[in-house]
Amino acid sequence: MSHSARAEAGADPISVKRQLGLQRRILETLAGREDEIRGLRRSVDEDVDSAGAAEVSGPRDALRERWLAEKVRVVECEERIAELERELGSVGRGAAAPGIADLDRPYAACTIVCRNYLAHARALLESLAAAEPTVRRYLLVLDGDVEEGEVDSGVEVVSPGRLAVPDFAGMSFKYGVVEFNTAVKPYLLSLLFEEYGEEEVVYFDPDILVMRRLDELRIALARADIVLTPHITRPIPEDGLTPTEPDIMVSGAYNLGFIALRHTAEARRFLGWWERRLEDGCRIDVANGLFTDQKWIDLVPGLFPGTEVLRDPAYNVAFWNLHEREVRVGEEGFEINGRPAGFIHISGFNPQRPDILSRHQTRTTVSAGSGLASLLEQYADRLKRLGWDAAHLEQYGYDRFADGLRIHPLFRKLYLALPVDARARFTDPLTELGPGGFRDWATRPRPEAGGLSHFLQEIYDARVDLQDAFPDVRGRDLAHFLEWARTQGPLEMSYDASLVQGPEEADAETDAAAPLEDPEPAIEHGEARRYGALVDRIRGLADETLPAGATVAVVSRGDYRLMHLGGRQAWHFPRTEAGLYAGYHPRTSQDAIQHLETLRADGADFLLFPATATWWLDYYEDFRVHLDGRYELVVDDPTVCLAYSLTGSDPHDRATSGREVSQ
Amino acid sequence: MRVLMISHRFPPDAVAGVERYTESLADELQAGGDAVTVLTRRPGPGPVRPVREQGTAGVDVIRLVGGGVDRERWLHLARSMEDSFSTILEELQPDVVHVNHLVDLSPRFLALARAAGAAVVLTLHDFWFPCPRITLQRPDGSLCDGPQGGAACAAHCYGPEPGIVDGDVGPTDRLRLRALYFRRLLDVPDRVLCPSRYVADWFEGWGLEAGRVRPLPNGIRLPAPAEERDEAARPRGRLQLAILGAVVRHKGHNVVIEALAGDGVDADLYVHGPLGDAGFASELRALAADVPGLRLHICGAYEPADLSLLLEGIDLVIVPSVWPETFCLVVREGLARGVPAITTRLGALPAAIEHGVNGFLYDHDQPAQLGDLLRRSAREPGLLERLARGAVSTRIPTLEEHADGVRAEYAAALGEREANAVGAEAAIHELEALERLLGDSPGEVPSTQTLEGVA
Repeated sequence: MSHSARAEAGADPISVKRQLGLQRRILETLAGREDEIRGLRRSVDEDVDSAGAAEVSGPRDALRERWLAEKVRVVECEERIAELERELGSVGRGAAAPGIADLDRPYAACTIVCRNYLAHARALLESLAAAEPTVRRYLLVLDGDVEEGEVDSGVEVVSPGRLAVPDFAGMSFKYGVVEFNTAVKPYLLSLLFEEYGEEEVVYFDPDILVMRRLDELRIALARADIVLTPHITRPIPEDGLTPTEPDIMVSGAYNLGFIALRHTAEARRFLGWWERRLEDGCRIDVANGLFTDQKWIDLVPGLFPGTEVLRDPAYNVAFWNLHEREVRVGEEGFEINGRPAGFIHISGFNPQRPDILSRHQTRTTVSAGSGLASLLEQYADRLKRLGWDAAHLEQYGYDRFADGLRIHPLFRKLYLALPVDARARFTDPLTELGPGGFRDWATRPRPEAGGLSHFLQEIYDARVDLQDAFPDVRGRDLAHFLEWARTQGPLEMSYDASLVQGPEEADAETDAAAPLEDPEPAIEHGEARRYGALVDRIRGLADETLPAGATVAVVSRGDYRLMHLGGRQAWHFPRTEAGLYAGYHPRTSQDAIQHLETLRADGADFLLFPATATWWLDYYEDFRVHLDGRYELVVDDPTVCLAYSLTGSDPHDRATSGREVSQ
Repeated sequence: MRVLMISHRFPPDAVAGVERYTESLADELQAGGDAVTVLTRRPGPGPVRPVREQGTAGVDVIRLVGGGVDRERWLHLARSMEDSFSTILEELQPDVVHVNHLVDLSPRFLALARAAGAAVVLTLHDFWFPCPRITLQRPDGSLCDGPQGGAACAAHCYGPEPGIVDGDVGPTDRLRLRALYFRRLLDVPDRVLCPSRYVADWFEGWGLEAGRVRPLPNGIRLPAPAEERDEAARPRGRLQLAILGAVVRHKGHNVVIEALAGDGVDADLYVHGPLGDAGFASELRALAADVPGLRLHICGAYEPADLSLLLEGIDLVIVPSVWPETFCLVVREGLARGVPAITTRLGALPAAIEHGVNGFLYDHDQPAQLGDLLRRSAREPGLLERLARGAVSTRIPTLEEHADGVRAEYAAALGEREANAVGAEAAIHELEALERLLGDSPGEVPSTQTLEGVA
């Protein structure tokens, strides 16, 4: 019968499934005649004239025979239903295997957020309920409770305490927000299988919208244990825009904003493997081949033969694959390459700027009136309706120690670098702040390291410029380094100055957790040494040529050493209103000019280009024209630095000509 | 007395032996003045949630609906069910918790019930404690003597399965742990009952002290006095046979069809019972199609109240089980209605049959013996009538008598509860160590302690 059903339906497995499902429902109706058969049974024993006893009559033996015959028929229907169940699961796969009942059978979907993404999760879950009304929806919020009314009553909110994470407190500490949210994913999937009895579970990132029934996915899942979607199915053009194929290679071939699993032994093995790998390997650590939970999945099709890659262009539509997919508005909603969209992943989107697709890409622009523009506008409206304005301001629940100090990423890194048994000494690094706690261990000066704490050592190791400036950090340079760490360091690296302790605060007697392992000594880099020499020469030249008390804007690339120009005040160029390095180069010459004039109005007297930044004058050509046309080049030593005087808009008015100074 | 009775399933979801037993005993105790609640499961997708309903005789039934089934890692599913169970214990404050089966529930229910102050009574209806397959029957159909510390399970039933997950407890170790775990679990209840001497002896052979497992035969509700059998109603020359019970392979329905395939006996074979094995019923039909003179009627599940009607006109009830049944209610139901029975000689089945008086016995792996008996029954004048008289004369324990026996066991369990506490606590402590080794419970990882450390 299944062959005829397939023949009628052509090659479309969804149609075959629907036809088989219809047959099954007819048989279910036939089999579900309990009342009728019960009535027949009563007729066997009772006088058929008695009120309401039965609707049939006849000799007792004949009635008994009919009753038994009807029971036999029901059994045959039930058997046929079971057979159809098996067929429904096997349509589209090579060999029969235990599979889903049919496309109408409810499955489970889940997502994971912190509270600042609650509006996104609500949007996803709302879209799911509309597209797949029978789907069971699960929400895991990692960093706080969900108040009544914050999500639909139909959503099962899973408590983080139910996850079988071996060391939840440690995991919340060693990982940043993205890493942590992704590291618990396999644990949630396991929980849904093992404690909630789900048979098919789909994970969606919260920034996804499900647009319709995902029948193609259900069919794929019927023949597979694991279903993945690739980031791209066609090559990305080499157009100099982002993302590039290497970008994809760095982050992983498959997008883990989506994964679907069927509860099989293979899926369980996969989850066990994934959980173990993510215990410490859910880092964003590109140099070591790691990128959250996602990069590991590159290995999955090889390790687990029951993996299917769903290449349907209607699935997981996102900025990384819009070079191959067109979003349009069709008669029944959004279409991808002319077919109804399955689900769309709107990553890196700011609802206050619906005209920008994503902060993570440069390739796709949003044209007014386009399908994409319409999609983004609708998504922005939906997020706002669901509380984005308040939600996105919520602070990450694992962002601070118990006393309110922000957890600097270097603390997380330091903790993660410890051997597992060493970490085990700290029960909860967020809350245990006294002696014996992790933070105390990390910030306590170590006599054996010349008084440098683990935390300061991490800072020092992370900054080549510091290593160059304070080469003997455990000796004669320690005082200067500590001065930097107490004053400039908090501004540059966003930590609290109270975390800096010098040898004078050291108290080895109470250092309960001191003797863990020592880090490797700092490495000196030849290039850094050469750069350090350049800085010295710039300082020397500035001393010789620029007036004491002058204010000098320095194209510093954030290097604080260039802020020390003898008796002159130095400003980063570009800089923030607070006076810190802005963190980027000007986008265009116009931006550079505008910023220069602002600083000049604020009191800048000179603009200094170290030799390492003279490329600006080639790259920002209009900026150079502006400078040359309006200001005097007063220091001109391309091997050391160039400097323009900004004291007058007309170079001829200047009191001191650049040439004179440089001479 | 407040009694909380536990069974892995309960009618109408499932109607096999344990479920029917639980239902009838609960009804009988309730009718006798006890306050009985039945706790059972209805596995399915979604979180575990208790659903309350009323049973047939006013018994409260609480079903734990949802959650999955994982018989390989039996503790994986346990926690949410244990949470519900603890709440129920707190609410009901039962004097006695009577466990009829724990498959798909949590083995830790026994310890939780003790901790809640209840006396704990366990009835062993089958071999699930020593045998993960429940029936002591290997996949090839051969019978097993016991787990032999899990080694026999690994060798014959569960081949080692290579895994790629580091640190997993391997399949062989799991089976060793299972055997240890379930053996020790039997030390937790105050009283352990079983339905037959055969079962009690088997468990003594597994290392339980003599007298620990107490046989208490199940009883039946006696039917109304049988009316005169209408011999004229029976089709002349056609043997009327019935098999009652779940349609699953280890019940051996196929053996009857094979037996009839020999020298032709015209027969109607009525199969009554829920379909428990996908495809088995179809196989039986195919098998029967090749047997001339045989009409096979697979009628599906039945209500106990219909038994008299189902057995009307039946010459013989056949119990062709190929596993050692621990008791057999349907044999007794038939005998009580004057229907003789033919059973195998396995397990507790021979206990009710006196060969040649109220039925016949045969060797379970000898269909020819069964064939001979059926031909003799069809052809020997007066034999069926003589067997029927023997059946009627057989002494069958009633449900009332059984319920009285159960009440006495409850009273004894309550009396012994405190004295049993020390031994039970020691067992629970050891079980917790085994659970850590298994590492199945969410939130736990396999201990690095060696298996030998606790074994």
